[in-house]
Amino acid sequence: MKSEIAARKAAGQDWLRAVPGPLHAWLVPIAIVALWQIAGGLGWISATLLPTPLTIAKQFVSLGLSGELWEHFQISILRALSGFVLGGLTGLALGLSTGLGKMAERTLDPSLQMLRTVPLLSLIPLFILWFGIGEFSKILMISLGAFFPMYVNTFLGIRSVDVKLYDVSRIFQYSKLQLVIRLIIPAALPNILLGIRLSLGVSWLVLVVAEMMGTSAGIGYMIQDARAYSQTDIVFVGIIIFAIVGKLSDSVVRLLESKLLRWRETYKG
Amino acid sequence: MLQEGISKGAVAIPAEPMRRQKRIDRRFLIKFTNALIGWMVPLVIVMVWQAAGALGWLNPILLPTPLAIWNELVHLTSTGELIQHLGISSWRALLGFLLGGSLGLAAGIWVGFSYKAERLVDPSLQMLRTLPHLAIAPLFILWFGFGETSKILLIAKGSFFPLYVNTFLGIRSVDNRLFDVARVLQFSRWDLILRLIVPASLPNIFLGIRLSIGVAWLGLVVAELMGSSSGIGYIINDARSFSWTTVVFVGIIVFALVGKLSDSLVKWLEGRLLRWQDSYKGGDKS
Repeated sequence: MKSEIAARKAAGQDWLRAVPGPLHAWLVPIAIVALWQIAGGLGWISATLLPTPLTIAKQFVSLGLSGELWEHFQISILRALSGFVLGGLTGLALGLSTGLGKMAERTLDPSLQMLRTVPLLSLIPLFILWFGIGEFSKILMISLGAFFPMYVNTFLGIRSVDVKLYDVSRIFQYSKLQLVIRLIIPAALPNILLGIRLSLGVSWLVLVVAEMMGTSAGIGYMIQDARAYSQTDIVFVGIIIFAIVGKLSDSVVRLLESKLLRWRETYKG
Repeated sequence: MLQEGISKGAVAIPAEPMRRQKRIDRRFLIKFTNALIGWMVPLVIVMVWQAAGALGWLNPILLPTPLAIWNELVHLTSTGELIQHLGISSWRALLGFLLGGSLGLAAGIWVGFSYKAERLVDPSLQMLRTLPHLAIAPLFILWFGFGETSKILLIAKGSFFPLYVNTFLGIRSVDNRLFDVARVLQFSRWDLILRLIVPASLPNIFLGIRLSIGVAWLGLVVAELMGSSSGIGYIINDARSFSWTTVVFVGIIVFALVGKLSDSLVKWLEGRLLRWQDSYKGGDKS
């Protein structure tokens, strides 16, 4: 019975086996892009609605060479980073205080959890009313987005530290500061790093929306401006950049994660 | 000796329920004080806010008092305006969620079952997943205009991925030994799906549904803020342009409430449908 299934499986994989394994992932995207290019080249699809991949690549290069792309890119990155740092640090600090202190948990945590139910992006109009469309409201918006994942995960990380380790630290007569630096922070690090990753993701998402709601610079502005003039290829370039940077920042934190958490036994397996 | 043992037992029997009662009382008291402390901070904030607003320390255009917001909420509800826009918004979110969610579920099941589909399709979908969900909005507006189609598609696109990823994960995490049992029982392929795989991957599918609803709601907010002529997002944006801050607040509160309610509804459904799970009862009692 097993061999029969295995045989059927082998037959099913037959034509897949002819292709080397690492290439499998690329088969469908390459086929789609090729079809898209051919259909566009033959004039089957409107160039204003769906420019060919080649046109998009050309636009990418020309925007990159003219320095326009780089300029918008720098502005966006700066915004996202400052918002992330502001919100992430606040989240870390509050997460540490609610995680370590019973009283802080009882008073602050329920209010913060209540605030967390408000959809973040519905606050954009309010922020525009309060602070205008300037830098300040954007950075505040991003930091608010970055705050919650960081806060929740820091808190969770601290609370999931093994109680037995606390007992050990008591035997070693750790001071309060030593306890935090040498036990709690390392033990909560996996969760904190997860918080950093989620925070970065949210700040990037909020940046996208904040920039499309109204700015005069940044990748989001570039997209919105291009949309107004129906320059679809530039819209695509902007979206691709958003995707690449989002992916890259995630990978960087993952790399950091695997470096910093190398001491964990479960991690390698 | 024997006498003593018996008398001890006789004393212990009536004392036991009383002690338990006391313990329950104390637990209730702790819970109650915790809730009280939890509500203290928001209550104090709201009271200070109201007092400061009433004394004229706050600019009512920037920060109306809680009472004014409440009055606006009552007013908008009584005129039926709020209900009407909420209906439109909910309809959009529901349509988008159903479209994207069912596609995500179908794709997840397909990729979960077929080795070939996993090798070929999954990497492409994972690549698409890296696109920030809302960055696609301008492209959809270009393609489909500001109408319903672009909104619903945006919501559908958002709710596709959480359901897809979690269904796939759920199917792949079904215990292999259960498959062997199913083979021994000579389940047909259909039986296998309905009686083993769907129930076993249900927890993950529910997680996917909850995440999907959250994303659908978020997508709705942004789609309606970007440009529409009805719905809660429109109310907010319209009120913003006339500086009716109370209405903006009402809109945000409605968004938060409905988002929370839909999440609770799925959680409740999850609890009912997954009651057979052994591990489930112990974990989440609060």
